[in-house]
Amino acid sequence: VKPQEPTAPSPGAAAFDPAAERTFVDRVIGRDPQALEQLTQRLACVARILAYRNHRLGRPLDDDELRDVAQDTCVAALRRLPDYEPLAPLESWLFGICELQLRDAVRRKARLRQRAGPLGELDVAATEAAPEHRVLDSAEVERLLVGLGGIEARILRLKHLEGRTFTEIAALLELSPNTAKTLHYRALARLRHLLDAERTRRETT
Amino acid sequence: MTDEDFDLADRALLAELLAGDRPPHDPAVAERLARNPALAAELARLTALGDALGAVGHERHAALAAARAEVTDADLAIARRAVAAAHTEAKPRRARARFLAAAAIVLVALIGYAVLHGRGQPPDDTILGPGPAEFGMAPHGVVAQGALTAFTWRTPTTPGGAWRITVYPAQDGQPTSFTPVFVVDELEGNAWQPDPTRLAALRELAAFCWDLTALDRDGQALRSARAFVRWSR
Repeated sequence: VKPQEPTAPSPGAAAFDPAAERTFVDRVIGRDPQALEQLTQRLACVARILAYRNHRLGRPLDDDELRDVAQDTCVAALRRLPDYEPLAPLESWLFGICELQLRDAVRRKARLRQRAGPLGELDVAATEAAPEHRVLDSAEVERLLVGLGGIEARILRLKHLEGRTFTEIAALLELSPNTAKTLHYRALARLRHLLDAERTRRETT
Repeated sequence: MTDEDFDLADRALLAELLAGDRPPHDPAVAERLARNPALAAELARLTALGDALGAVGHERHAALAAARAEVTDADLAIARRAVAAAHTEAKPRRARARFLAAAAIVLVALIGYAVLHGRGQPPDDTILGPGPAEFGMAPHGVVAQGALTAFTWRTPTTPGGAWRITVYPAQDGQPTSFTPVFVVDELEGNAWQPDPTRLAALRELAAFCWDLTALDRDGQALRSARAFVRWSR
């Protein structure tokens, strides 16, 4: 395994330029060859993100399965590229897709093993014991934020996932800082309501 | 306990505390929280939720930092194959795009015809919409013709997936509550016509917003878009 320096831009949150990122994505969608090559370089992080997260989850997927998920994630990201909103670097957006794809792959594997019999069931139990069982895991947060939608989801992403200050959030979303703070409270309250509703739904089904 | 259970001052205080503008141990704040246990409990719950989101944020930053440091040739090969696959897939999509463009022109012509022939009989109920495009799947709007009202949208669903519509009361382009007026699940196709009960609930609102959520085959939310609408009476 030979480490390779990324040659394409990979901006961190501090250096992030929304307009430049939007232009880059538009060039990719317009199939500009240079932009496509840069995107390829940037998409290479997908396999690494998945490997890191798989490791953190207790390695529920083996290397071959992980490669398949990486391929599927890259394809899914390319299909969903027109959905990208330049609130954070593309890599951060890719992380969200990685989480959802990884969670789905782990679930599929768990279901297959459940059907496979007693040995499979033991393996499923091992998977469930992995540190997914925090108060919220990354995939769940992604799913909840997608469900929440709108400006509230954007504010929670920027504040808690991207570590932005309210002044930065206000500038990015063209709001006053006070409005951003009020919406932040409302977003948290609404998210909690969604979690409560989900818990109730689970308990009744 | 919901947002509406607190008065304006309580909500402003919660917003300030959650933003870190005021410390909870400030004597005035501590006294107010001691007098209102429900407010203190709400603060604790929302703070814990914010902390949980922050922990997820830390994990995300760690994963992204690890990914930047360790990209390999094999990782690059996976990305290259995906980009190449997307490129070959793009050709049939262009044909579909042309078909959709033609269909859109026909649709606009039909709407124009309907508008011209509908003049002189103002509809008793007209909903004005749609809202902003988000995640590339803006709801198409709410179409009203007299008593017939339907929610429509354009984006095709995921194979095996479905749609969810969640309606909230709204004012000035913002939802005024996060408690839904109603939720409709398991919708298929690209339109939904509310039953008389739900239509009556909508008519009681001067304005509302509806969230359209795409669900996968397991009922998990994939993406969401919101439209604000109001009745013209």
